Amino acid sequence: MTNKSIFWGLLCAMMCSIGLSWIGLRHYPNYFPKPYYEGRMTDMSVPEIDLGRHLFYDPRLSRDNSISCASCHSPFNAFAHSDHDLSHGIDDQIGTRNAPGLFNLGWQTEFMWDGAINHLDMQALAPMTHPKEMDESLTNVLQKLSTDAFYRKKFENVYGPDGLTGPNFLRALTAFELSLISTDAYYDKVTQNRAQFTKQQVRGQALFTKHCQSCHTAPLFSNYEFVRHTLKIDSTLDDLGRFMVTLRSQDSARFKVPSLRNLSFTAPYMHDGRFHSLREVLNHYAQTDTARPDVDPRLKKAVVADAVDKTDLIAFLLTLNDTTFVFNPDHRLPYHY
Amino acid sequence: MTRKFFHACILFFAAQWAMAQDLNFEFWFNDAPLVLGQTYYVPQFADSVRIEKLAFYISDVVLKDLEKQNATKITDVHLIDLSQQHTLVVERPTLNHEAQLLTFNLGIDSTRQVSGVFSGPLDPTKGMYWTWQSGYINTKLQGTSASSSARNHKFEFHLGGYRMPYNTLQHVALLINKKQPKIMVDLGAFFDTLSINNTNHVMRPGKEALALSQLFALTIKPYDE
Repeated sequence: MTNKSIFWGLLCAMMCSIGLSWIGLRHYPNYFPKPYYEGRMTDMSVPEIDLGRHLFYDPRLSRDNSISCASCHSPFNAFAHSDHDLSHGIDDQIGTRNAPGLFNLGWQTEFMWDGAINHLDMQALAPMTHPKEMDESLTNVLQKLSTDAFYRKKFENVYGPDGLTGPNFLRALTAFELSLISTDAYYDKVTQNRAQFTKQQVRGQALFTKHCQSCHTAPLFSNYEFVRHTLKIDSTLDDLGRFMVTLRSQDSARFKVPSLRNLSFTAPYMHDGRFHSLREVLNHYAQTDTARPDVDPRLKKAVVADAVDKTDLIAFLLTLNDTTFVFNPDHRLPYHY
Repeated sequence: MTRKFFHACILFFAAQWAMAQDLNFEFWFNDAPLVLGQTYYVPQFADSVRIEKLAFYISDVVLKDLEKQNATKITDVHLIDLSQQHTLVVERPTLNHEAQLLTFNLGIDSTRQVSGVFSGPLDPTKGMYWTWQSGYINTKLQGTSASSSARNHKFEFHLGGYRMPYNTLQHVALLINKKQPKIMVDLGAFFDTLSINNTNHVMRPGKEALALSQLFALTIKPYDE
């Protein structure tokens, strides 16, 4: 073997390694914090992500094979559900919460609006078994998938012989969900000196930093804490949020702070989807009675009353839309269907 | 031929001895062996109960030699299911310990609860994982009772929850017979204390789940023949 062939061999190996890393979408900008799931994001392979992607779009995860994860988490809505204030499940049943967007999940420690799910591996079990969502058991899903040679082979390739198991099914879905990383909004381009904000966007950013940043902390645009907002509780839902998980009275009506990335794609807003536009959300905070003792002190800063200021703030918020993410073909319905 | 027979005998008795060292769970309802689907009288409440399902986790099972002050981990997690006979025996290494203190947790600790999906006894297909809220069901006890006001006289206890102040994990410590390490689970003690008329469904974490977990832990005792 000549030196030349060794050189080209090593170069090819390096290029393949770099290429695979990017395909696996395990990279994020250096101004992002270290992900909570960093280990999993490093270890997961492209075939595992691909298997999870197939499962994500597979309606056999529901009782009557009609509803997939993507039914309420569309890639073109940053994996939220457009035009539905509450999730729409099996037999045309309506749930109790607004389906949130799915991205940058590796930076979160608890899932769902109330944090009822403590690990991403376990998240899929909740909608899959919920009688108003997919109404199916994990055992039945595995039975259905085991009759499909395509899946038998896929699971074997990723996890080895007898790889089609409940834990591996959940791990594959986790891998796909962890690959949903949104880091290429216009905001990111500006932060990376690849673009510049307009004057209006600069004003909006200043307003954002003053009024919103403490909860919607950059660069994830959420601190993922559970905060008591000032929304009147919808008597048709009686949703007490975090209280139903911790059973502590101080957690009543607390909900997880959502990320503000991809806002243009994820309307309607709030845990019960009651607001259809960003201006409605800003108007709500402007009208909040901040003297109320139960109001989170940070929300007292969230008041932006001036109409021009609201417009400037929205101009900045729109820079958080990541079209690279939303239109990424690697996230869409796979060819198998 | 004689030699082979001799070896087979040695293997047979070695296996017998090893089996005798395993931890055996035996289930009772006061003085009667507990059988799923059989009705038992509860004199305390002039009631009757029939148990259809009983399963619970034990974890971090450790045997301690009180003389030598050493400890041996027997198993990390084991799911005991009364409907599956093989789960009632917990294998352990054949040791020459003398006085034995057996300790284990009844349930799954909070670290495992938040560490994602596991295979083996913690596989969520085992039916011991809550789906609407993360967490293992530490103890599942279901059946019917004449006094239950619920539909079809059912009672259902899915006891779990790992968050404070309602962490249902119970620590159990038993002095066991070193030659016949049996553990008795006497459900009679549970139903003599709990009025099914008043409490027939506890299926989520909270104060009641904690109280019933503490009560269930008291049903586990060393077996003294």
